Amino acid sequence: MKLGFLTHVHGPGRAAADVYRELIEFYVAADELGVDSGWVAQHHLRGDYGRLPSPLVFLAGAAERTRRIRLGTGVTVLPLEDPLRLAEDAAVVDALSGRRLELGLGTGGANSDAFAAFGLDPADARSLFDEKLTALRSALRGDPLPAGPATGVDGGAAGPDAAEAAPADPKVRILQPPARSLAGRLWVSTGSPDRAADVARSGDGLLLGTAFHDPLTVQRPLAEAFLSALPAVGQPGTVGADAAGAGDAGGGPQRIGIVRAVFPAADKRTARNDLAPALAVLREGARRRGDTQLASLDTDATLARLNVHYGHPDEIIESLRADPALFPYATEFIPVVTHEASTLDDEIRRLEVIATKIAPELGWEALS
Amino acid sequence: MSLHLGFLTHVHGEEPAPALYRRLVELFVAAEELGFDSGWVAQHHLQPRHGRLPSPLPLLAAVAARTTRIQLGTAVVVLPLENPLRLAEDAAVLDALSGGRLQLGLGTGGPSAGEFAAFGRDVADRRTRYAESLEILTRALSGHPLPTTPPSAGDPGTNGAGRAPAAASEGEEPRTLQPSGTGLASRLWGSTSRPEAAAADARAGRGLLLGVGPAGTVQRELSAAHSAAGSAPRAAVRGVFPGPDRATVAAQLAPDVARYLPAHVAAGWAPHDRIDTPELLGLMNVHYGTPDDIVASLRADPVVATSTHLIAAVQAESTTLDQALRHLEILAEDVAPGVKAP
Repeated sequence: MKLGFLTHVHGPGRAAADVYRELIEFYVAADELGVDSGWVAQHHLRGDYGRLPSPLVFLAGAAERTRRIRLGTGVTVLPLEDPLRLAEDAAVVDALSGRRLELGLGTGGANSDAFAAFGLDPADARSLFDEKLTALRSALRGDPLPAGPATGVDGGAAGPDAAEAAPADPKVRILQPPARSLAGRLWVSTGSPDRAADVARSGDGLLLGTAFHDPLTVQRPLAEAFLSALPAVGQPGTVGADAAGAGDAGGGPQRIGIVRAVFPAADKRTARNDLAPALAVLREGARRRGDTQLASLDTDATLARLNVHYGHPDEIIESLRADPALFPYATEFIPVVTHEASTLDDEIRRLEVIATKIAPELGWEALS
Repeated sequence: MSLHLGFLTHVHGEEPAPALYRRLVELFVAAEELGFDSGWVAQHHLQPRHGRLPSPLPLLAAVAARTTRIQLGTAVVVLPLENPLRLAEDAAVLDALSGGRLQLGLGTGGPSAGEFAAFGRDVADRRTRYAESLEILTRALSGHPLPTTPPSAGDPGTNGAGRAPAAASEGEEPRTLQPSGTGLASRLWGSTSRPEAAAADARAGRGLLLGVGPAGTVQRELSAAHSAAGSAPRAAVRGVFPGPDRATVAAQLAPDVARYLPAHVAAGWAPHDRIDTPELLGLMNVHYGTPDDIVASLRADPVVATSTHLIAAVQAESTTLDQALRHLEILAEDVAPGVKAP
């Protein structure tokens, strides 16, 4: 099993420059702890919470300050992207980072209110996603792209990456820089078992763990649908072992990344008190969206509803083990240690506790 | 004279992309140490050998993490091939990451004509699309509210962000660019070849990048139109190639510049396709030779004299990034003092 982290990049009332600078420091700390991957979510046109619309620009910066940690998007809202421009940006970040990019993709459920600003209708999200994933995958694989009239100046012969991808006909356009291995590092987040099965058939990884998806009734069927559709059927219990052998690139056919909110503290009460203001922010957001059910919950009920693992490290180990959709499905366990009102120091301390006290008990070994 | 000194590369090189980009980041680090005020990269799409960077903003984000002072420029982003709102987001994030160091140069993509089809765009529409996208980009960077309702069936295309925002329904907060990119709207640069467009750039507060076309005629007219219409900065983008003497450098550059001759004939800048290399280098505004030769010819360049910025293009197609670094050293130590001297 691999260990990562995910952040939605909050920072109410603070300058974006400060929020991003601290996030880079968080990546540096995670890299030093030997954590395998760090994932950032893309949110469009958000003020206080979800402050990063450009994960690839950010990750290019994080790549310069880190050496080993893989750099993930969890997720990129694919319907709002031009798939060929996304392929180019991803290829450049992958090259800059020494092939450390993990490209997570979603339909953008949490960003549906931003579609109109891009001239799109969220009702089309799934068809746009399917169409653009096909185009993205094709570009990354090095398939020829439609070529216009050659301009003569720059088309030219196969370049220095010819060993990886050489267009035989100089008029043929293919993605540059080539990033064929990145086609094997795509991940998809979905809430539909049918689509989870499609993810498996496409050879992509499955990202699970949206806080609003119940582990037992929603996430577990998704993981089962994914596993049962794999070309070589995997059994729960063997998945982690297989993936552990898949190498640093994170490739291999059996990839399931599972996101969980994990908040270690001295004891349950301390963790709960620390989380309470963030949960209040979250319920206020739910109230504005008209989700009266979530808005009416108290702190304990909210923690349960959002499947938050919190308390003393020993309590967290126990509750993670009891999580019905975490082990043995996860090849990549991706804790969220940031909340709507937390500080960098707190976040680093939580990740450190997970990396040194919790994850090792669950079979994880730090990069050394 | 007080002159802002920058450098530009189109990102040429023979090595695989990871090694090439590594050297490119190191080039910026070295340029900052040498005292350069800015470094600029060109965007080229789908080019395997010459023009190897399709994504200037992620590259510059990596540079931002390694530098503290040098301004980070694009010269240019091919605007018609971008989603303008996504570009605004990427630019705003890079600007925040870099502490407000982004200079965003934009172009219509004439030299990228062969690549429009791959993006599903018609190259014939590039100027219209440039104008539409520039408006969307500028509005977003200026904090204008964005549409909050999906387009109706009759709305054109993916440039929907250009629509006037519908009145936000009750309880709905207006959407604006986040991060806001405040200040970036005044760090946009155009690169037009038409005097009326240069004047429009100046009126909107956009700088003008002057690189293509003979300095004494084409660029002088553009510069005058821009200067008359406002006080925005102008940059002379100039090939600068130091060497032991002019003949040696001209011989080295001959194969690289020959590929541009047909375009110069087609534009009417070159009388015919049999002109020699020094004449073509002159039409391309390349300054070359010993440091003293370069100082003398830069001081005689009419557009350099009326520009706020000198951006030295230090890489021809066959120049390696290591050689480009040597050019930067010579430029900083032996050329810049002479050019800046009163």
